[in-house]
Amino acid sequence: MGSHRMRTLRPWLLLAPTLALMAVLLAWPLGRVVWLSLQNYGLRELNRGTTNFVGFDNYVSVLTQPYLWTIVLPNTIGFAVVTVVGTVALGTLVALFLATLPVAWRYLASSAVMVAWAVPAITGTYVWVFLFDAADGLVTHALGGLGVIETGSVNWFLERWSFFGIAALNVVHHGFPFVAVTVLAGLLTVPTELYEAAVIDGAGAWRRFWSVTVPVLKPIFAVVTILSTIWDFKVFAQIFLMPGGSGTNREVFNLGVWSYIQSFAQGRYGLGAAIAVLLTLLLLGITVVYLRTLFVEEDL
Amino acid sequence: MQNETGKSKLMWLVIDLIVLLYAFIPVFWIISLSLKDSATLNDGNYFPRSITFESYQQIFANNDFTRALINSIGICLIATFIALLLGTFAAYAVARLQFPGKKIIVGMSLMVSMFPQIALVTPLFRIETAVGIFDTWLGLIIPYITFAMPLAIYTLSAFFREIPWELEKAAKMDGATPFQAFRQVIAPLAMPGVFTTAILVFISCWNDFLFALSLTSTSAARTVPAAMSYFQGATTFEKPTGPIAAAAVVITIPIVIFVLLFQRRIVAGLTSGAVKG
Repeated sequence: MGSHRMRTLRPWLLLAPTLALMAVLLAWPLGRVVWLSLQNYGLRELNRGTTNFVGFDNYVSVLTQPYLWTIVLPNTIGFAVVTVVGTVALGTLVALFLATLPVAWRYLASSAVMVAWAVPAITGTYVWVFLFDAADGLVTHALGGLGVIETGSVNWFLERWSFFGIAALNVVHHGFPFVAVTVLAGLLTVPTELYEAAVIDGAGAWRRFWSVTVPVLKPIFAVVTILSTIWDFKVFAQIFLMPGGSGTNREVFNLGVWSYIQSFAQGRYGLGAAIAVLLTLLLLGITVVYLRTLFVEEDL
Repeated sequence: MQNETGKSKLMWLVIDLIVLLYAFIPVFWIISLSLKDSATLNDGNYFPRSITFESYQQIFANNDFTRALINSIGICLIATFIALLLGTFAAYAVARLQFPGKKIIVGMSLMVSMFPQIALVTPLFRIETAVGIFDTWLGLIIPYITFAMPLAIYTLSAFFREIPWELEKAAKMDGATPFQAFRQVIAPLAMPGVFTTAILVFISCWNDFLFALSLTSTSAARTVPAAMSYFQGATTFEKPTGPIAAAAVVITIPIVIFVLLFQRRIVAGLTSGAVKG
């Protein structure tokens, strides 16, 4: 009897420290941010320590702003769509290439890909900014040398499209190695007989990819796509550290940066919290899809 | 894919070349910038004319940077250690024991890893200021553990599922005490997974920018990524390109070394969530 109770209790004893920690460290701040989002909480309230409950006013204010619909949401969602497609496509391409290599070369080439993964997001962001610097960037010099543009005359960071183009190059560069090694690991588990049978049936490389590789690796593609979506929705440093991204150019904010600027630069903590809650809800939706995909696939 | 035509082979080659350039130009460019002297920093040459360690000397002579480096190393090591310690218990329960509510636990821990850090920055800032741990090591270690935990549990449990646990029973039958069985049989088998997870957790802490930026205000706890954004040029009009490039290289080197030394394991850890053993 005692040992039976011990057996039911054991998993919870092992989980207790983690659960307790998470409850305190996550649930508490999370409760606070929701509470904050229901208040008109600015520097005055911060200094006085008073509260000023306004219900859903912050949400109404955020959701009725044309700025949200014309700038921030397109910046967040459009950017995520482009970078996810880019990351998964490039990662898959690299994986297919790696799979054709002999083992020793594959190992070497994977190392090279993993070096790109190892470059921290912050380092990557500085590099891409330096590459496209209006006066001294490598790309600017190269294009100037080719006579495409006049060096120093174009500032890529001022314009929304080129700003996000550079940000996309940066985010895809940081993200594709993960997709590449994951898809590669999957590719190596695909039975070669399937490809041989397809070859006998006269299927070309393109056809083999779509009718053998994609169906077999569907769960893997689902996981890397959803994970990339989640990461690309919440990019912060990669936008914030680009010229204009830290507050001067409102054209380039995404939900995360907008929330940060409202809270820390403008001192409108209530509004910033409301934006953060909206971003959280958006990610929660994607996560639920992710969990369903995962639990359908494997029995934990 | 043997019977490919010459044309499609050529296409592959071109694509590979573009991908290779895309992957490596940024890496070479930042290294090149960090090795240029201030006179040739902006000359647009891909390779430095003459190699100088001026920028590195400059950042290592800067107390704010060396302090930030110590902060980064210390904070990330402590956070990794605690996350691994707690994560090992939890992962053992998830991987080895059957109990009701297990799916919910795994689902919740994944949910946490998806959580946007930005949502917690303001409340954490307020709470830490009130409690008096704002701008301290502890103030960063706490959120790092929170966000590293799910990663630790998930990766560890994937590794733990692969361990042949029958060996433990066999050792006990051979007369080993439970502790001996654990120490001599299970621990050596579990070590690679624990070690790999530690590297992944360390990297995730090391790369953080948002918490480091908003939960610190002085060099007391500011880590390198946040400290870099405060770099200034020699004059107001000079951009701090050289020092930033050098610092960016410095924070990248340890991660590159990890990756090159333990590539197989890191890849196994990264893909454990998506690819079944």
